[in-house]
Amino acid sequence: MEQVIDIISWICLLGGALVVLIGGIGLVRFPDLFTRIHAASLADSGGAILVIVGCMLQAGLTLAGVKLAAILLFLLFTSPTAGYALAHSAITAKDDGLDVDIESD
Amino acid sequence: MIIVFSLFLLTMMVVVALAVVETRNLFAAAMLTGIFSFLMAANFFVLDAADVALTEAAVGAGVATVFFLGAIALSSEHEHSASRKFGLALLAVASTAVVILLGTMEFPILGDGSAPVHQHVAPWYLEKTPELIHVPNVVTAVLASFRGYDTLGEVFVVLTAAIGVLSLLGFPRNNSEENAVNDGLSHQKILHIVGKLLIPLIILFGLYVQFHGDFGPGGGFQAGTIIAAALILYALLSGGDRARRQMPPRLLFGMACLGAFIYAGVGGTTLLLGGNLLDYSVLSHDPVHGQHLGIMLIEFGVGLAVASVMLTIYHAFAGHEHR
Amino acid sequence: MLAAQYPVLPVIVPLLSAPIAALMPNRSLAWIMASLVSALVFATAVALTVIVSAQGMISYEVGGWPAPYGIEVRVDSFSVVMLLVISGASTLALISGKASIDAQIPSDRQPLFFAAWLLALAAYSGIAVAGDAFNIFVFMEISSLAGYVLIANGPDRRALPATFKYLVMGTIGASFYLIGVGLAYMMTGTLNIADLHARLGDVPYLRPILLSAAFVTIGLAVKAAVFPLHVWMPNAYARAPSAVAVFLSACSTKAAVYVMLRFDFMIFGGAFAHHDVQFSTVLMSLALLGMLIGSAVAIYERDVKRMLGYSSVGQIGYILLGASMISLGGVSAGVIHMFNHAMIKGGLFLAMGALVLRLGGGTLDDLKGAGRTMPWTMGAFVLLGLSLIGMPLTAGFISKWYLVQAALDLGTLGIVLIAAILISSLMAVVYIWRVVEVAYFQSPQAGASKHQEAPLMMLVPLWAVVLANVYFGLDPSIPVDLATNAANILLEHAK
Repeated sequence: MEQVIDIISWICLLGGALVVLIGGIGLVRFPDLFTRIHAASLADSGGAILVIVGCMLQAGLTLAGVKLAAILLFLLFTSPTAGYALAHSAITAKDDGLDVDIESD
Repeated sequence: MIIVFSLFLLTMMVVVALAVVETRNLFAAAMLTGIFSFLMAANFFVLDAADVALTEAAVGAGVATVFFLGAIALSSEHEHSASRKFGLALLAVASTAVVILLGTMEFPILGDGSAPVHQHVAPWYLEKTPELIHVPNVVTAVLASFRGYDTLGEVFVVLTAAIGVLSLLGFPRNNSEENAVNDGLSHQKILHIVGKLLIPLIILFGLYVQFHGDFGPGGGFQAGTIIAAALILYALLSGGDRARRQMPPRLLFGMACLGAFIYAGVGGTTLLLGGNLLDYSVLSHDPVHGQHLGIMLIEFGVGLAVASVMLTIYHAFAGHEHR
Repeated sequence: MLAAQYPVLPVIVPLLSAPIAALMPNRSLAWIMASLVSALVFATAVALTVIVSAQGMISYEVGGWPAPYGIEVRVDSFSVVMLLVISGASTLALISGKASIDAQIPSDRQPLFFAAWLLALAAYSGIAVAGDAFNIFVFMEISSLAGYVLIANGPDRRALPATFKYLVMGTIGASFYLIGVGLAYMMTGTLNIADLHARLGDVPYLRPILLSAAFVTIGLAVKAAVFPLHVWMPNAYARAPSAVAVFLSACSTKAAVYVMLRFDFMIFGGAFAHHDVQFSTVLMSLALLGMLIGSAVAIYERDVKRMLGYSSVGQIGYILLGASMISLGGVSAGVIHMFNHAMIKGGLFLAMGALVLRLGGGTLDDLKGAGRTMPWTMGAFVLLGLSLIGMPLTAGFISKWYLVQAALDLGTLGIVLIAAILISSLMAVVYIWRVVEVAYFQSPQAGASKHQEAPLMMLVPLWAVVLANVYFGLDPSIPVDLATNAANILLEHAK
């Protein structure tokens, strides 16, 4: 049983790391602001969720596990909000005539 | 493993520091200093200095970045492209670095138990704290009691910062009624609702950090910053004018003075009760209980002073904009 | 019972009163409070001087914890010299400064201004009585921050760039000091000054200690405005409010010199061989350059406050020259000059405060004919100027007399040093004469006839300083005894 949990936990952790890595590459490589926000929020929510779930499986039903669950709950609220705020202000800025497209360098 | 982590973090810090120097965009520079502080906090944590890490994350990465942004909002986002006279500065920095590197060769090795810092004062603290002060977190014992005089000074450093900002920028004033009221981000429903949901939780966490300081990482400095962050979030969401109406800047500054006065007042009380300065043992008939009482009081003073000073400085920057 | 608590009173009383002063509804109340507290600190300093002279060094355990574990407050003859200078300057500057502060600082900002003043007073006193290296850093932070606030309150916007320059330099200085203390802590595991001295001798690796000594000395040299690290200083004093210039010119650089001497003699002096040689070679050459170049620049300065600032660069040179001789006579001459120069320069800035208040500016052009319209103020300026030059019967002469005597013991090198002292004094004659000439031999500018003598509240403290100058010129036994004791304490550890 423990081994099964360990394996699932490692899959989560590695998967999370992979998502964060991909998100990071996307953040650099994508052509404009909105696609980049997409990559960043993917890493921020998806990657973080997987990593924390992996850690929770390691911690089990302990105080640390409860703390991790609380962190996960907060992240589920804050990262989509942050992504939304970023995109929203980008749109507002664009309406105001500011150039939000990033020149690829 | 720790070495690998530390090396990675330190390398990242060097990269970030170079980027801060290089960029001409002050907004980017402010964000990068936030990242720098965050890496530093992670580094402290790797070194098992949880209290310092918490402070660095809250102050360096959190509030300091907000203050930088406030200052940038009052001036300009771009550095003036003045002539860059690198030569002499570069020489000074490079020679200092070389000298430090030469010195590091004879430093004690990281984690060496026989290093002088682990041999002299530290064992005494670890041994005597349970007996003399009876709190599990030795850091709190050192900070609040053994070296409480330094911490007294630090609180007054924080208060001096508030006095300085106020005497340069003046107390922020609210817009009069006829002016359009700045309602912050309240027209953005998602931000507003999520933010309002988080504020009480952040304050709760701040109180936990405040009162848990005797047992784990935490204490007045960290708690004050966290609570101030929650109230700054409120000011961002509901608009500075509304926040200032609910907590007038003069009241905030009064609270900052009160916090610092509580700490100094505990010192004055110990003198009047016949003890030495900040000798909390005289506060109660039982010395250990006196220590507890003293530490609780001064931590409360610290928390109050830090939170109010942070808010005072924030409002001084944010309220200046409208004038 | 309270007598046992004297060592911490100069710190805790201003700290307790600063938050109250900041919240005072009225500028006069805040001023009265600051003046009373400052006078109380001065009284405590006098009491401590008496106690220390009679019984020797006092050690005080803050928090009741024994020395290397808790923080020690330590008062010896050197501390009381510093404490007398700080509290005396603060008290005189506050009492005499009422009119000029009212003229230069908006009344709604004054409570904050006096709070910053009290914080600076507490911090400088804290440095003077500290027996712990990190504790000195904490108070250095408060004193610097409060000092920036005080200077930034200057009468025009030029105060802001002056403050910014001071802030950048001061922060570099303080960081260097902190790095140095950190290195010393790393190699010894202690922060107590006496304990550092005891343990540094046993450290097997010298390079980090050497590094520590370098960082501490250079960091403090920036704060002490030692030539060539003085660039922040003339403007900081010239653009500050007049009363602040009196206070800071008397104690801000002196406090840094004070800490530097404590570290280099009491901690590093005994720790490794040849420290004394390195220290004296580096500092003596910087001191000589400062004496010559600082005084030379002062001659060409048309803004009298900036002139006095550059003159201070030279005077810091005298103090360091004495210290770098590493002999009993030399070090005590340096300490005597710390005391006397604080008195002279503080007095000169007091006179400048009165002149600026009445004439509206402090350049040579503004001072035209001031000898006739403000005879008492200019008279005091001239007497203090003579003391700065080193005329017999003034305190300045005593400093130079002891300095020259100590130099004579050094043989050929001593002759060179005496020549430098003479040249620098001659240059002082020139720059003081320029002011005298303008004030007495040129007619006032048009419309200047309405200028009147400075208010009595400024003249009384000013003349008190002048009389003190003459008194300590005739009977220098108090500063000389204290300085000789201080030099003994410093040199005793250096061996």
